[in-house]
Amino acid sequence: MSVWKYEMKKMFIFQKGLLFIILFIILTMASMISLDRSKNPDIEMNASSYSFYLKQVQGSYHKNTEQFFASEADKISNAKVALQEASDRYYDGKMGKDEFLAVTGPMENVLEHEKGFKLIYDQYTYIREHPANRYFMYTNGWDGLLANENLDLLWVVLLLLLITPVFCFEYESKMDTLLLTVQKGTRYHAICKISLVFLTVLILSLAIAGIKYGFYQYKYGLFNGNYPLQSLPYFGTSTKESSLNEAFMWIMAGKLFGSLCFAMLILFVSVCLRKYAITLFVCTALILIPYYGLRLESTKYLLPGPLAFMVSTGFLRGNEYKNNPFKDQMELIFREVSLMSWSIVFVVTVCLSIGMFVVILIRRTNVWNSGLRNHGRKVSTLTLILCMMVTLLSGCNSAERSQTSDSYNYSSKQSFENSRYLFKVDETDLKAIRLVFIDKQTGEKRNFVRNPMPSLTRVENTIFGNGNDVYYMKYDSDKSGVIEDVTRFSIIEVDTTSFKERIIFEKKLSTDKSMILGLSKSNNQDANFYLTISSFFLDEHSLYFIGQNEIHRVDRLTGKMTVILKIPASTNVAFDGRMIYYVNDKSQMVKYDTNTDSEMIIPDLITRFFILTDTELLFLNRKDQQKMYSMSLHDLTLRKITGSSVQEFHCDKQYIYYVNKSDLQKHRMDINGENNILQ
Amino acid sequence: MKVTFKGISKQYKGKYALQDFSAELENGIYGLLGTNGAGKTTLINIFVGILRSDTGQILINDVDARTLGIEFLSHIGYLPQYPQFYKNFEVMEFLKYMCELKQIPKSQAEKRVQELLEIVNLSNARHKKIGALSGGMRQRVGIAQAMLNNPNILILDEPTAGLDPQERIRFRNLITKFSENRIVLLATHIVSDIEFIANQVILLKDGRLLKQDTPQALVEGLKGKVWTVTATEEALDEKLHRLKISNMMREQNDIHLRVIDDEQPDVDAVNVQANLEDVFLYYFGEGEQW
Amino acid sequence: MVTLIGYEWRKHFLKWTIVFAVAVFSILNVLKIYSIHGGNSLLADSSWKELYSQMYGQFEGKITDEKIGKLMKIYRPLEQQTADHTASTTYRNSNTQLSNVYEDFNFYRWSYVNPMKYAYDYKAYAHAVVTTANENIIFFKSLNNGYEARKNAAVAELFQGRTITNFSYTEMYQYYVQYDFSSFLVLLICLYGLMSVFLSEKETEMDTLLLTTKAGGAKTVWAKLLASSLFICSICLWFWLIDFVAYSWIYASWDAASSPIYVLEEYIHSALNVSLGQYAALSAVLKTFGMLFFGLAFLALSYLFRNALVPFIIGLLALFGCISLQEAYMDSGHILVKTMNPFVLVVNRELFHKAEYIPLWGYPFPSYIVALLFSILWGTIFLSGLMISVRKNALRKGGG
Repeated sequence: MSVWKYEMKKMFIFQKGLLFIILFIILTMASMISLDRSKNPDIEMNASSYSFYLKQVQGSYHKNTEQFFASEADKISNAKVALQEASDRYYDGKMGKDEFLAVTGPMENVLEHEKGFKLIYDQYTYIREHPANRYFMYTNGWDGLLANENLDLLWVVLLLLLITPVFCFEYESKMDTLLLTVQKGTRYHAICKISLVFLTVLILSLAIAGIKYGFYQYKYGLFNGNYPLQSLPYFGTSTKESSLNEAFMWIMAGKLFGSLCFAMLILFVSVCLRKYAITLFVCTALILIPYYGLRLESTKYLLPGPLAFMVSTGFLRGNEYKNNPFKDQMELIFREVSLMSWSIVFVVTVCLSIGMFVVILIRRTNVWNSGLRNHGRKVSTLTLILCMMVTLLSGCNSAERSQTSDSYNYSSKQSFENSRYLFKVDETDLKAIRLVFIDKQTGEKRNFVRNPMPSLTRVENTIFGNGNDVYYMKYDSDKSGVIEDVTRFSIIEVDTTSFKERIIFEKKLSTDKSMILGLSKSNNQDANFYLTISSFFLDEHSLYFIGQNEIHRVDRLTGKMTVILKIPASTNVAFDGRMIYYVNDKSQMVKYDTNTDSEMIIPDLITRFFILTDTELLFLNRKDQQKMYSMSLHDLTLRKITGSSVQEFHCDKQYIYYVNKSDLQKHRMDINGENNILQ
Repeated sequence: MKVTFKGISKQYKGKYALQDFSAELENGIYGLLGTNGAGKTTLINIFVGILRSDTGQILINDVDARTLGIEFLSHIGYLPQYPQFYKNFEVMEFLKYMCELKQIPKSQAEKRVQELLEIVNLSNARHKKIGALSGGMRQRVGIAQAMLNNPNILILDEPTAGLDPQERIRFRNLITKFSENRIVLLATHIVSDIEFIANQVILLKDGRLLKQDTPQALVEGLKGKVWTVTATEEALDEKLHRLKISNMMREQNDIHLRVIDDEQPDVDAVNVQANLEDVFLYYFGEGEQW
Repeated sequence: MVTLIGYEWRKHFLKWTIVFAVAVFSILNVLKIYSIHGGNSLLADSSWKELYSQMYGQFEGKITDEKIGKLMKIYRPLEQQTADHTASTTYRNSNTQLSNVYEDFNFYRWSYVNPMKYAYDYKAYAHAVVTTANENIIFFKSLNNGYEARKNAAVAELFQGRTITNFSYTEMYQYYVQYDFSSFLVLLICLYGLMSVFLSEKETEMDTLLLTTKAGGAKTVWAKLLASSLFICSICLWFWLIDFVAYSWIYASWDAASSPIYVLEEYIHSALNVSLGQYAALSAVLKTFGMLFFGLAFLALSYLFRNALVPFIIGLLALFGCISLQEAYMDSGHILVKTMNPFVLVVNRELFHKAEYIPLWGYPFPSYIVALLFSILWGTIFLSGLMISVRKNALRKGGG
């Protein structure tokens, strides 16, 4: 066996390098698979409608683009109006079914892609700011691959584990002196070791880059690699001229260079200091301290050494500013690294690495081998050293629930009634709108949320109830700085027999405040969604959040969020513990089964407003002049409740309250439709 | 083969570890004797090229070692002090590894390793991990690796540490056999290791060469200076304080002391034949009394 | 024993590398504090600082109606002028104190009006908390929810009589109580320093020799543990001292030391009724306690291996794991999970900035007590593990 093979055996077998590499690859892949979240989840959730528009505008911005967006926006708003008109005419009996289908078909096609249009329009507003180097493209793949500059801690740890023993093992075995006295044990041996380390780092870096490229290619697709880098908003202000493919190559090359420099640093420190602990300590400190310690992110790119290159994405970023609310001024938060600065940092880093290489060779060279020339040369290596460191969201506790569920209606999201109490939003004092509950026996009204320390907590005016358990949602804020920052969203379960509270769901929203090292960051898109939730309901396994035109389901165990339904604005949504009911754009009632994820349109039920009770659906029949009807959930039979058209209605466990459309008089009737009295 | 040391000096933090050391070695066994810290290991480290001397030069057959470069290393075999080697290597594997580093052709390496394993009596332990060997066995592995390349100059730093008496005798015989037409430099402070095999003894003290001569000449130089004195228990303390004692033996109520002194230390003192241990004590005995 | 501890200290901690690391890290620490001041302090801008110090004399100390009136007299016109965003932004207008009227408005708003308003309103807020808590006691008793009743009683007692009477400059403490970087540095030093405590004995093969001596077994292990604790405490003391002195020096302020902790808005629901000065000391003690736990964990790790490579990396990963968990549960309502993580002692503002209770045997225990109990539990487990392995090892070696 050659020296190479022995060194490989030492590194990969005796020092367990192979085991560490396998572990690293497994952990990296597992973390990619489990933790990767698309930068813009909306695009994934509306993939088909987004790609419909993307296909039409993909590429550079040109003079017709603006017109295209204007005409598409018109088309959509016109289609909405026309569809509404056609529906009205059809349900009023002024239009036949065939004609209705013929008229509405093309409009539906237009509206089918509305969400996609919103997404592409967002991109358009970004691109038109600087159309020369911002192209229309699908960004999630490239964003995932390029748009982050987190230091890969596992990679740092792997390099430490692999490289520290390369020389430290020789010192530990006291072989260092013996090796210096054999022909191939001196400079050749050191070069052999360094080459092996470099080759390993090179292969691993390429492998990891390949795995990452493959992962994003497979998961999202990395299209349009020849488009300018600035097409990704992350690099929007960059002045570097580069395509996405080139950027990937640059970043990969930068990371490779950084890793090689780090490898050289580890080798150098281990040769100089000889001990494992001090080598690990110095190298860890040299990487981690500037990474976590520097306030301005871009400063680390001006520090010569491996760190800047190991997170080399930042070299391609442009200047970024943030508004300083105290001075009403824009404040620089990231300073673009100029080519000159980059060159200086690069050259200094190369020089340092060469210096370290030379020192290693000098220290690992037999005096007789170094010849006459070097006699008397002293390198103060020490001086050189001195000059140069799971939980995405909280688990949702499983909850034991009774088999039967109370029905939920979005329209009555501010109230709930169980056998003992009525829960509602009290708006009598507009300065202190609050959730209250009323004891049905005594009529006594009390605060529902019993927290005596309400500051820095905002309780939302929406509740969901199921038997004795009533749920509310709240946002907690942080006031560690001068400005308050929402840090957490929670759903609280209140057992109304004892008013004991329990957190059943919690989501961290703050992206940068109160961080120690910033290891657990929340996703901006996720945080934005949680800030726009208008109501929620839940079952044993999932929580359902009603956002803007969408219903999101969050798995209570894993915290994974998916969009299950797109719903029109201002429609009622109801939930009976398994089925979600809502009215679609064509005023049809749709039933969504949360167990099978299947949708079904309830035939002959055309309405704009409905309420779900425990046994039936009460609705204003669009096909019968907005008269109130009920549909039995059991056998789907229809029953007319009011003879006249109804303006609006609501109900509780006992009564239905409605406003007559013709005279605007308020009426009340029993829940079964009998005993109609004028209120 | 001839090795010449010319005015070698080495300082650590302003203190001389080796000062103006000059000597000439020709084929034969050289015992390098000195107390701890005398500069033996420093001299060896400079000789094998681990350390750079501050001044002086080493000539090999009148050629400056520096001009020989890496080629010089092919002439030497070296056993460091307290070797540990790779604990997870097998003995055989380790020796083959050293063959590779010493650029011994593969065709010869296997044979040479087998041969040396036989010589150092480790044939049965060839597949044992080095970490599982006793201190003596590990020392024998070290001796074997030093001899792998059939060196012209064999440098052994404390080679008998950890060897049992039988192994020690084997070692001495082996070295004597090996030393034909070669230079063997054997650094130790165990006098018996070199007493019977060294052709010359180099005495080092505080980094300076004190004496270089044959053991016989050194012993001869002490003629009339080694005495035995018999003392009683009561007088022992006084004698211990006053005299340089090389050995002490209790026999019934008397205590026989072996004394090194230029003058007759006592009226009843009897002159006896000196040995190398007496030489060692004569030159290094001051200042380190227990 | 004292002599043994002295020797252990000398063996493992009196190294130039540690001294050098402490020196370099101390400098980095001060630079970091300086950068925090530059990035966050309202008074990092020299013109703001100058104006603040000019006005401070008029408003510091006891909050009186007269001072409030005086401040409002300056602030109200600024508020009116800037309300419709049409005021002039001309630089250094004659009737402005800073660059323009908006900056004047922002200055008074953030530096004086908001903090003084908060301080002034706090008494009423605390009273409201007590009232609500008292109502809750009756309410929960009526529902036979004894735990909640007791918890509210504790809250009522905690908030009873809380008031902020004085106005002072609190920025220094505001950022001081959130400062964690020095803890990270201390942990790195401890990780390095403690690695050698057991490993060096193995490297020098002194472990076997030690077992043959009278005091070389358990007594030496205890000496090592005590010396390590002493080392951790010394490093902590040094860095906490640097933190405090650097903050005080850079923010040029000691004013708020006697103010109650809830003068910081983040601590509006503070679990303690102590002054900021007392809190700084208490927090330092608790941080040190957390460090001791981590030190013990590092020692236990190093005991299991023959060289520092794997234990160092495991220690580092464990540290990052704890920090990551801590960050994930920062401000979380899952108080029990939060308190189980020993790192919460290091970031102990999480335990003190809000009065949080954990039910134990039906009684509400403040979260900081539970966190301490957990740390003691983890510490005991590590210590027992260490002592058991030491004993086993001794028997094995002795038997062999």
